[in-house]
Amino acid sequence: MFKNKQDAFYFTLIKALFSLKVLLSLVLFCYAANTHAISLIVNQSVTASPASSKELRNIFTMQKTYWSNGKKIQVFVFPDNNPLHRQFSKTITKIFPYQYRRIWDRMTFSGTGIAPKTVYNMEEMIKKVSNTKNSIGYIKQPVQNRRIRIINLDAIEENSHE
Amino acid sequence: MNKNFRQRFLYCSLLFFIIINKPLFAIELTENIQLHGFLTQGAFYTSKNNYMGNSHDKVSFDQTEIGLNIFWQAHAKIDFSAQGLYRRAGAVETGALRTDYAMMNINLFNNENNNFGVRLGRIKNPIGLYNETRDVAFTTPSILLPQSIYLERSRSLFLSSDGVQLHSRHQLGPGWLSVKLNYGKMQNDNDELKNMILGTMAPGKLETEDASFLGQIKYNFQSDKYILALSYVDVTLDYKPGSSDFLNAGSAQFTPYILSAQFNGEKIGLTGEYYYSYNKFRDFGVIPDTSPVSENWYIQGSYRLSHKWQSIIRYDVNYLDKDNRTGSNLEQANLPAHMGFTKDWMIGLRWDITPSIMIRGEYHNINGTSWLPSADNPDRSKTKQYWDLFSIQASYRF
Repeated sequence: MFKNKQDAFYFTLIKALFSLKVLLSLVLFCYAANTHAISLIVNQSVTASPASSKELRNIFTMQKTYWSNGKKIQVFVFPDNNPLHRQFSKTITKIFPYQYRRIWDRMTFSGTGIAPKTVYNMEEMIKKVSNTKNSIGYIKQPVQNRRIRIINLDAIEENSHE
Repeated sequence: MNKNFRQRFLYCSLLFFIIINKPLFAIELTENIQLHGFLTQGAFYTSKNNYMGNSHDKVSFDQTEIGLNIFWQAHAKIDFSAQGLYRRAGAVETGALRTDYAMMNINLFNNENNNFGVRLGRIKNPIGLYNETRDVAFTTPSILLPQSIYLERSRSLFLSSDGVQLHSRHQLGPGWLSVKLNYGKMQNDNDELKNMILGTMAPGKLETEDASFLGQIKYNFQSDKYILALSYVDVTLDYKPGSSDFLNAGSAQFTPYILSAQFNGEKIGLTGEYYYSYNKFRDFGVIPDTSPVSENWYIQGSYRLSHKWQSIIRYDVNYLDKDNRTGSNLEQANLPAHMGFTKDWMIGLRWDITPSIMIRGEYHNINGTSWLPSADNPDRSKTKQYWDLFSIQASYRF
């Protein structure tokens, strides 16, 4: 099939490089998919759809405390050292868990505000958001629950080039 | 059981209780009521002079702060909050339980980008970056807050006001502009201030009679990544002479301006605050009227080594009278000149073991004694200009 050994070598090399590329894209795809392994969820009563990291930050730092329809926002989070909380803080809202904690602590210990409510596992998060009007939270995998609406995070990422 | 042993036993049992407990962020009594609290214990050692108890050449454990608070969202626009604080701080405060704050908040106007409301009751004073939560270890950058500005002497006066606060927040450009205006009677536990201004022999009381005004305007963006604030206070203390007093019913007025700036990066934090205060001491009789201007500032850098470890460095400067930085004028009153200033280099390390438990330690290299509490150092002639301070602190919160 090949005139000489050299051609065969080049063909094998190209094949190998191609497979490497496939492998690489697969890895990249998985990695990209992994950054999306967070679902932002709101209670079905919420009509608004937060559309930027900035807006989410305002909500999760408790600076923005009312939805546009005037209802008080109920926020649920995982503990500071929870990996999903860290990932959510860093990749979706673009600040760090310790920054949230500082803002919440300042309000909590001066009586000027309230920190988000902490939940400890996915089931609890789903239960709280589905049962609490005007609430917002986040989970690892999308769920089917008629009292929960999932917010598209792609739109948030596009709006987050600040 | 002796008192020391009882105290240690109490701490050990508390510590045990804390460690076996899982990290806990709040107690929710109902959907709308949250309880939070904290417990802090510090240890101090100084090479000279005393700070937080008898720390000279020995270890003093005379710093304890225990707080418990409640927040009740009674209605979408109305909430109530209160905090009780038990505090020991050397001879300045030997153990007192006080109402730290207790107030009602009404949000008069809200929408997505604006918030305007009013608070009534005992309200924490927004002065500089740390005053509102200065007794809560988790919220402060170091065991000793920068003493140039948050000095122990004026702590109780500046802590809170009994009165009213107007507060507003507006989304402006990339961030939020917030304004807080307090009008009310500031607290009266001012022996440290009295000792400083009138000496330890004055038998009367130095107290606020009228309501005082203070306020803060603050701009922050990217959720406190950048903070810029200006605070202002105008407070007058009136002297009520004691029986057969050698002093007249004079007054002491303080009008400080505080400029604060902070950057909070992923790893690096930078903070600077500048304090410029016009002080007027009038009509005391034998003590001549004076109006010194105090000038204080610090610059602080922190570096986050990991999400559990953080290091900090700070240079902190305090001049009681900016026109007499060497303090030589104090010698006329038989006080050491080094009482007129303090320059403090500090390094520290903080370890957040869990989100609820934190331990930190720090070292101070200090030149001057201007912010040394007089309760811990009653005889100023015995204080030394150059001294070192080591401190370790553990704190728990929920």
